[in-house]
Amino acid sequence: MSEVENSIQETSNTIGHLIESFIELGILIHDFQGTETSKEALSIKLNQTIDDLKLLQSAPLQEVPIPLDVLQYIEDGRNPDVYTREFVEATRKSNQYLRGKMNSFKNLREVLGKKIINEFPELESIVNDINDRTNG
Amino acid sequence: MDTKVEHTQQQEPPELAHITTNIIPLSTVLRKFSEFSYAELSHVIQTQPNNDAKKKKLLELIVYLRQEYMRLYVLTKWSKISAKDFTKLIDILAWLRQQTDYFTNLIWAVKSINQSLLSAKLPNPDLITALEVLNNGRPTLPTHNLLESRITTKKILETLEDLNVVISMKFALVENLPDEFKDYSIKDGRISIFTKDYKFELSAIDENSPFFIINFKFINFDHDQNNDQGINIGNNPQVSKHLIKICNEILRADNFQELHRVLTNYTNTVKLYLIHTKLNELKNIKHVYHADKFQIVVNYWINSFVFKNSYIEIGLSKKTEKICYKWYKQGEFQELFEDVDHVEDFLKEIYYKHSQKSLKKIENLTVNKSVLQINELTGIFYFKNSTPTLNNFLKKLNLDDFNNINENLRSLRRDLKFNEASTILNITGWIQNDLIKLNLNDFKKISQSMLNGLDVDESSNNIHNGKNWKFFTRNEWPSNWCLMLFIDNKIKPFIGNVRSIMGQSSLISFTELNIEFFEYKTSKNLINYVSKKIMIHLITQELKNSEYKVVEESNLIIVKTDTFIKIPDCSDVTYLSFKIDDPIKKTMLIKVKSRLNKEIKIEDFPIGSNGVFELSETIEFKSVSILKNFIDKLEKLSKIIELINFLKLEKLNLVNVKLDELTFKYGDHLCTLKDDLKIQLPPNNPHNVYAASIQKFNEYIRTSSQNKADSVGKIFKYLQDSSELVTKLRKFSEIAENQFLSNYDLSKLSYQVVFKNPTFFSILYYKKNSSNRIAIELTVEIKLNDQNEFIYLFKISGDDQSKFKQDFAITGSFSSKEFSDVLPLNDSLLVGSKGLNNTLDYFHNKFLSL
Repeated sequence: MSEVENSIQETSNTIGHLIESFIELGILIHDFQGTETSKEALSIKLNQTIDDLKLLQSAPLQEVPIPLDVLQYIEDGRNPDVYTREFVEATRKSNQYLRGKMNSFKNLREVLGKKIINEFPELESIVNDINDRTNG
Repeated sequence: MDTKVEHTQQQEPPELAHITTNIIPLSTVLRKFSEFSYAELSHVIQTQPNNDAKKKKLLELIVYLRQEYMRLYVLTKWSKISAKDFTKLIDILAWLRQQTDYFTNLIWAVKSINQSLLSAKLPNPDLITALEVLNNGRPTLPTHNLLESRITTKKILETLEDLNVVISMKFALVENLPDEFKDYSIKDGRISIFTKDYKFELSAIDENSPFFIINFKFINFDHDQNNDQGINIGNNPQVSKHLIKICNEILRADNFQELHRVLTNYTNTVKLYLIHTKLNELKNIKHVYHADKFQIVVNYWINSFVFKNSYIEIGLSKKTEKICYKWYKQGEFQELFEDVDHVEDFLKEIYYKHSQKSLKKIENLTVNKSVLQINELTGIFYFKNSTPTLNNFLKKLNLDDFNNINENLRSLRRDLKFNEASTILNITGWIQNDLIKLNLNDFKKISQSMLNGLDVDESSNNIHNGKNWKFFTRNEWPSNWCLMLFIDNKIKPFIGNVRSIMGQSSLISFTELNIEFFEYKTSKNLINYVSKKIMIHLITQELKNSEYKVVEESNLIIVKTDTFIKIPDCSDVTYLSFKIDDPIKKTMLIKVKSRLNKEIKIEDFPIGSNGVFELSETIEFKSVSILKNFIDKLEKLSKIIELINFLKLEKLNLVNVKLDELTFKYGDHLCTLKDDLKIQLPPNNPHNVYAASIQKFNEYIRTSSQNKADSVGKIFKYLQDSSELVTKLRKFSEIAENQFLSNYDLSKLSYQVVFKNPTFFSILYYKKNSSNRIAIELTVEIKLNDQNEFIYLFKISGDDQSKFKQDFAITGSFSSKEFSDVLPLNDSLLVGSKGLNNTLDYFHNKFLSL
């Protein structure tokens, strides 16, 4: 596991902990009676939470890029993996389309080159040079 | 992408451009949100004034934060797995899009190159001018008639005249010249040859060189054929050139026969083609042009199903080498035509012939007032003076085989006739009944009875067909009766009694009616007529086996009386007349009229002075039996007359005669004979005492004797003869009753008369005080002697029986004149009618005096 992944893992653990803290905090506040013990318990819990927040704040995750679209997806309560899949799909399609274009232009280039050579034999070397250079 | 760099360096491809827009690091997200959370938390805790509000706000915030952290949790999970690859994907997609844009640019570039190179085209080299320059040293330019001919006109004329002589000689020497080429003229150095279809011109250079053809032209072709479709093919210069080339080849060998053959062939081909183009313009036909087979098949009347397969074959006759037309009518060869000038007119003629031939095959073209015709253009049937019904029917005619047309027309006429009749009938209150379906046997019955009246072969087939039958009833009619129409060439009406059991109809009886037409005017009469027919039928049915004759005109049935009801002393015939009051009232008046030969008076049955009597009754159509009441009355009349006759024989006094009652007198007494010979006796009649047993006796006699009159005679005889005895006994009985009531004397014997049965009576004598009871019984029994007269057997039984036996034994007591007609037996007495009175008195007084 790389360093980045480790720190992501740690961060997600922290967030998990934070979520649990919020649940407990909620229960504490809901049941808050104003007694000393409850005040104490609440303050301990709040402090814990704030510690966690601090941890999050300083998490070393500058290297992890997050596209805004993914953020929007999560905001809307949707599964970001779906977005990933759709994105892969779009990329694949785009690739295929481009490949088709490339092939057809390759054909066009060859046909056109042949015709040019037929009509203008003196241009043969130039045509061949272009063909060589454009054979990716 | 810079392809040049890539190409020359031959290295790894450059890194993809890294996309950073719209991408933020995860740490930023986390940092910002944790800061936000902290700020919110501290804000809420510090700012809220009271505890409850603070609690609520805090809870809301915590719930909200928790939700958001859940999202952050998802985000971190996702970023752990996908974030790295995802940025890569974004880069790839961005690159791919960029490439696509390059291609789009490329396409536009190619297009603009194409457009910009349009003008870069080289002209074709002018080879023709080049050749002219090579040959002549200079190009041939147009002269515009400015150059003068070097040959003089005179020279030309001379040469032509010389040429005329040369070619006329040469042409005269041609061997095997076809006959068709013998019409020619020589002029202007050429021979013009005219044939029927074309002309051509020949010429030759000199007497040694062969002929060559200069010009070829069709003549006599229709002028209107040079239309825009290039029909002017015969005189088309391109084609002519080719033809002339071929002809010149032939002429090189001087073979005029061959030339003729080629030209004729060519002419025929062109002619056929012209026909084809001509046919193209025509509607209502379909033709197929087989250029290879030298044939055109023209299908005409293509929209007609009836006359399908009618066509004309146009081809070449082998004999005459002319174009000929073969006409096939519905697949059969009809006629061969040649020398047809105008195809359109020819087709019209064929249409006319075909339609006339077809119409001739139809037996009868008229349907009502309409006449069946064939549209000569389309071959479709139509009616002159048509009606909507007929038009509907045309569809069927036009879609059926021609062989069925006569049958179809017949059925049409039948339907129309029926429709007409049924409309009239429906309007005038008849009700059509479609439920009746007769079976074959019933049809046979009818057809057998009709055999005389109709054409046997035709109708007998149709008559078994239920479709040809229609049934009508009327409300006021007796049920089961209906008017049956048999529709054939004519409408044959019947009335019939059709009974329907379990959906099966069976014809019980029927009568043919004599009606020819159904019209509104006569429809009322029709109802009367048909109703009358039914009535006659119903009445005659009730007359059963009687002999009768129906006189329809006067609504009369003459019945031979004997065969109907036997009435004694009645005239031979009885008249039965009937009259339909009014069909709406649904009743009819029936009268029965006859005459008695004897004068008889019957109280409730008027008989005229001459013996004529008449019965009448109004009867409903629907009543079950029409004649029942008449028959009842007549039977009664017959009975009563029979009785009267008998009673007169017996010399009885008739007091009163009614149809069902007859009163007569015997002795001093009245007796009434009721219907069924019941005896009714008035109270003062002595026989009344035991009327019941007399009635029984009467019945016994009647059942045992065969003759009614005979039985009546017996009872009368009994009543008459027993009258004396019964009167006497009745008197005794009355006296006894009176005594019993008024004068009650215990010392004397009381008595009682007992009527045991009509032939057995007894008188019981007894004492009322029981201690010294004396009881004697005197019995009298009626017997018959040899002369069938009444004699009476006296017997005495009881306690003192022996005393009186002496009376029987002592002949002296009864042998005196007083007791004549008495015969003493061993223990009884046999008394004749003369001695009866005295004997009875004797015994009665004797017993009472004891």
